[in-house]
This record gives sequence, structure tokens and C-alpha cells, in this order.
Amino acid sequence: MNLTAEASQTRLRPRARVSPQERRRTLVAYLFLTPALAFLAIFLFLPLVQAVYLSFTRYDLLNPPQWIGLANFTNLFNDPLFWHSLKNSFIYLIVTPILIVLSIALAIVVNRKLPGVAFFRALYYMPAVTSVVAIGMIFDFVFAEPAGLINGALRALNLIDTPIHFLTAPSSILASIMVVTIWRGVGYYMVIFLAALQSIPEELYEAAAIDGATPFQQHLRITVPLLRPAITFVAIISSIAALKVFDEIYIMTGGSGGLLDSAVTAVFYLYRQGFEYLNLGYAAAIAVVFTLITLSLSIINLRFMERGATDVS
Amino acid sequence: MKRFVVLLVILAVLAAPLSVLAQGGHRETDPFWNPTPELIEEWRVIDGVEEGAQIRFWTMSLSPTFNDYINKIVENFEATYPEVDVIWEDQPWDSLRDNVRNTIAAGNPADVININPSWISELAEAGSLMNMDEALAPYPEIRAQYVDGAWVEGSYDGVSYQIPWYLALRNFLAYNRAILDEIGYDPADLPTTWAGLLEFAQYVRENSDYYAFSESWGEPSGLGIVGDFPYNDIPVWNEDHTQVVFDTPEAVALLQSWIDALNNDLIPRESLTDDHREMIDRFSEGEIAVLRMAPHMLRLVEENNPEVFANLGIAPGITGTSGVNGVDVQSLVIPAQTPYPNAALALAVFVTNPQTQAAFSKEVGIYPSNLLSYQDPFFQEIEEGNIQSAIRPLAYDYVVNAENRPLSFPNSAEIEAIIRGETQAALLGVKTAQEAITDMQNRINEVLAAAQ
Repeated sequence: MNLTAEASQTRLRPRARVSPQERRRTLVAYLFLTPALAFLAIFLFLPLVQAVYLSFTRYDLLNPPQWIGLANFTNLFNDPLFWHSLKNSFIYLIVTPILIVLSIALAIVVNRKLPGVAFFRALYYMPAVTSVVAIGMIFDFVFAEPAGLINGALRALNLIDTPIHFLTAPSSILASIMVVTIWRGVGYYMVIFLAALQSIPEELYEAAAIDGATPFQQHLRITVPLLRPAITFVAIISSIAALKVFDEIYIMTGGSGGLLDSAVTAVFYLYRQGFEYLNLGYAAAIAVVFTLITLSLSIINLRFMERGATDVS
Repeated sequence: MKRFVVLLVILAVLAAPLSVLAQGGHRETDPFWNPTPELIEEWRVIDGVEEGAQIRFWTMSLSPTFNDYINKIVENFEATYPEVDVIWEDQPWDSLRDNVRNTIAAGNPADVININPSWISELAEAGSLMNMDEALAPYPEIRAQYVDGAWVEGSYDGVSYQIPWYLALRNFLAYNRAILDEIGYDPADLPTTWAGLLEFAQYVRENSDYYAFSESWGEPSGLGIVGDFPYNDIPVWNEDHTQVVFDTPEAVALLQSWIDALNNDLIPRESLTDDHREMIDRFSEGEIAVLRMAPHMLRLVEENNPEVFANLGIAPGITGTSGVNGVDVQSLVIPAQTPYPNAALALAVFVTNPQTQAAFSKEVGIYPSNLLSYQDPFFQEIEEGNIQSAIRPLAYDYVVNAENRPLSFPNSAEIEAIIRGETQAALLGVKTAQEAITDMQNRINEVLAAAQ
């Protein structure tokens, strides 16, 4: 069939009539969608557009924005602290695989029908519902020197002479804060894996056991492959969360970003430029660049995981 | 149950006079708490107050401890200026700066705001604050009541943008008597200079596991070592006030003394990251022998650890080489955007009038910025068992002779970060003291050049 004939057929095809009932149903659907759309438009899309606009301006919050073209982006690419903060954000991604492994392990443990297991499930989940300020106070004590929880215990056991500088040595601050993030996140991701584990049919394990598979082999050959959708999901959301980390950095460093800016991540740097220095335009440029990086990474992550899932199937 | 209720009632009846006693019993006779119609008439000093004005008053972390006092201010003010309504909103100290910036940007700031004077420069630079020199020019007798040293604290380009509210006599030394007894040190020999403090620190480390003092170098705002330069006679500005010129051997030596104190374990390593609250906590926990502080902060020690508070003594503070004592100021500012400038000015003046400020000093160990407040006999009273009251008779001379040497910079937050970063680099051995001071000066001058 040539294109002209197809077009004429399309023209001749009578339009399907929409009944008033269907039209009303469509209208109702749109009405239900409107609040959510309005919410998203006001609190997400509009600020997004505004941030892009501000990234081309000099804006200090107290005076109107001035258009300066690409100057913010040029300065950004020549700003060593931006690259340092970006590097720290990527280093922070190390928490993602650790979180996945630990939370799967925990989920497997609490998935067993043992007495009191519900208590432990709740206990592991508690950090997820604890305020980050409270967590900061706890870890301030844990990392304190010379007599915090860890340093005090190690000294009492004569394992160290001088305290470990968890938060007072630039080389260890970021790692110490990553520990806090892992402690805080592991219970949350455990719940996701627990839900996924409970959807795996028990017969698969029974069949594997009959075939002589050890519990470890069962987890490796059954649990992990069947958890792949959950792993993909957790990998994406936890890596986005790791890239966006702010609360822990702010609380654990008292808002300073750590000695010699050792714990300054991209989002923290954005905050500092925007809300401490009042360089809102520059902060918006950081936000735009960082959003593009996060978006690209998430797409790559998704593709990679999907390909992995196809290979397994 | 009935017996329990009766017991509660008895306890409440017993507790009521106790709570009055806890306030020192001053409220019953104080003119602020019991104003006469004549006093209310006397308080009305600002002309042209807008009829029907509704003004918002922001304080910094005063609620709930001082709810009674602030509510009484509002009540007295509304009796004095019945045409004005005041809405009081207390703000947490750690988010106040952001809230002020955001509300000014949104065009809806409170009308009278209690802020830290070090935040004034950025707001003044943007033209966001009322010029107080101009605002009080028609009222020279009111302007003359304020301590000069406090009035200049919030100056930017030689203009004051604040009315000083309560003062803290920053330079006292609280000491833990139990620790001094343990190491056999006579409080009368406590140091009054930085060099003496370092020697004392050496003595404490050699004779105990305690530290003599700690620092708050992790304070996220403030000018750090550069703020200390004027008190050590180190020049900060060039003659035309366009560049900083503090790269001198004296500045390097001061920073080097900080480095040595840290490296020689004379102060806790966490001084690198502590802010002033954490420094007070360290003293409250009995880790350090002396605390450089303003007396009103002792309230925090008392809350943290009554045992340490019971062992407190107070001695003269540590001064720089200039020997000058400064005074910490809490400021009241009025945003230029306020639709009720006269009502706002009336409130700021009212909050800082002699009786209102004297009454505040009776609630807590702070001192008035209004010199007339000191005529209240309260400032000559020393109460047995009240360690803070020993300072009262010294307060007038202290504030009159206080010489604040404030520094104000454009882009102050950025400059604070430079100072913090370079100081940390020196303290952590990444740079020498000389390199850090030179780099600090050069980087600040770059920011100043860009701002010009």
C-alpha cells in the first residue's frame, strides 16, 4: 500500500464516537489527576525551570537576578572545589554496594521463622525512622576522642595508644560519615529485600535442596537472581541518595563540610554557595550540572541492570 | 486518686513562691513587671507611630526559657503604644540567619529582628536594613543612653545598622575549682594573657590528665583568628580600607602559637571541630580546667552538670596584647522593607529601654546596653551563693570601658570560609603559619577586589 492510499484511507475512516459517559469518565480522571499535577508543577517543574534560568544569572537573594550568560558554568569548570566535591560525591557511591550486600544479608537472616524475629526486624529498621540529628549526636559520641565509644573501648583493650581521629583528620572524615549513612540505610533497604525474598516460591529452595544444593548455593543460584529487580531498584535509589547526601555531612561536620573541606560533596557545595555565600546563580549552575550527571548515571545504571537481568533470564 | 490530686495541689502551692524565689524575687517590686501609668507615659518616646500597625518581633532562641519576660515586653509595649499590635515569634539560633535572608528575599521579613552583629554587613551591603544613626538622629537623648562600644559593633562603612540589645561581658574565665585543687593551682595565679594561658596549659598537662582549656575553632561562622588581630594590635586594613594587610610577623606568631598548642597536646584535638556549645559541654563534663566565656553562658553549665557548676569560680579574662576587653552584643535590626518603620523603631527602643533591660538582667546573667539601666540597685547586689552576681558591680565599668574593634567585610560568609580554611591548613600542617597567613590575606583581597 502506498503512502497516498494510506493517507486517504485514514482520512476516510470515520472517527470513533465518544459517548458522553466516556467523556465524563475522562474528565473525572483528569480532575483526579489535577491536584497531583498542580503539586508537581508548582513544587517540582517550576523550580526546575527557575533553577535553569538562575544558573545563567548572578543572584544573591537580596537583589534581583542579573543575566550573565554562561559565566557561572565557565567559573564552575575552573573551580577546583567543585571538582573536589564531585569527586567526594562519587566516592560516596561506595556506600551503595555495601548497603546492598549488608541489607540482603540482614534480610535473609530476618526472613527465617525464628522466635523474636519480628523484634529484630523492627530494631534494624529503627535507624531509618530516627532523626538524622539524633543519629549525629549518637555518632558524635561513637567517634569522639579520646574517650568516645570506639576510642574508649580500643584504649581499654590496649589496642591503641593514641585515639583514632574519625572526625578530626581530613583523610577519615568522609569515611566516618559513610559509616553513618550505611548504619542509617541498611534497615530501610533490608525491608525492600525482605519483601522481595518473601515473594520467592519456597518450592524452588526445596527442589534445590533435593538436588543437593547447599544453603549458600541456594542463595547464590536462586535468591540473588530472583532478587535482581529489587537489587536494580535499590542500586538506583541508593546511588541517587548517595550522590545527593547532605544531612549526614551537615550534621556530622557541624555545617562546615569537614576540616579542609574534606567531606564537601556536590550537594553540600551547592548549599554552601547558595545559602552561605548567597551565590544563588552559581549554586543553580551546580544544581543543573549535577542533575545532568545524576540523570546520566541513573540511565546507565538502569540499562546495565536491565541487560544483566536479560542475560540471567 | 483523690489523695494524689491533693498532693499535687499542695506541691503546686509550695512551688509557686519557690518559682518567684528562683527569679530572685525581683518581679514583685520591679517597675518593668509592675509599670505605673507614669512609667508607661515615660516609655512613649518615638513619634509618628503608625496607627493600626501590626509588627512582628523575632528573637533568637529565647523561648521557652524567657516566655514570661518577652510576653511582658509585648504587654508593656502595647500598653505604651496601644495603636500597635506585636506578634512575637522566637527563632532557633542555628536557622535564624537563613530565615532572615529568605524572608528579606521574599519581601516579608519580621519588623524587628534580634540577630548576631556579624551578620549585619551582608544585609547592610544589600541595603536591606534601616540606618540606625539616621533613625535615632531626631532622638539624641535616646542614642546617648547606649554604650558606645556596643553601638559600633554592627557598623558597616561607618554606619550603625543596629540598636544594641543585651550584652555579654565576654572576657571572664570560669574555672573548675575541683580541678585546680587536684593539681594544686591557686586560682589567684590564673593567667590573664594568651602567653600565660599557654604556660598554664603546659602545667595542667604535666600534672594531670586534664586539659587547661579548649578552643572552638570549628565555629561555622565568625572571623576566627582575624577577629583576634585588632585585640592584639595587629593592623587589619590598609589606610583607605580597600585591602587587608595583616600579613605581619605578629599575625604569623599568633597562628604559630595555636599550632604549637595543638601539636604539643596542650588543648584537645577536637578543638579543631568544636563550636562554642561543644566547648562549654567539654567544660561541663569536667574535661577542662578553665573556660573563656561570657557569664550568661554559665546557665548552660548549670543545666549540663550542676556538680561542675557548684565548683565554679570566676576570674578576670584573657586579653590580647592590647589589653582591651570587648563586649559581645546581641543586636536588634529593622529591615528597610518594613511598612511600619516608626512602630518598629518604637519597639526596638522599647526593648532596650532602661527598665526593660534591667529586668532582663534580673532574669539571666546578661548586661544591658543601656547605661541608665545600671542605676538600678540590682547592679550593686552580690547574692551569697550566686557566682554570677559577683560580676554585677564590675559590669558598669566593664561596659563603659569596653572597646569593641569589630571588622566588617563584604561577602562575609565567603571571607569567613577563607579564614577557616587557611587556619585549618596551618593547624593540620598542610601549610606553615606564614604560608597560611599570606594566602589568607591574598585570597581575602581577591574577594574584596571582586566586590569593589
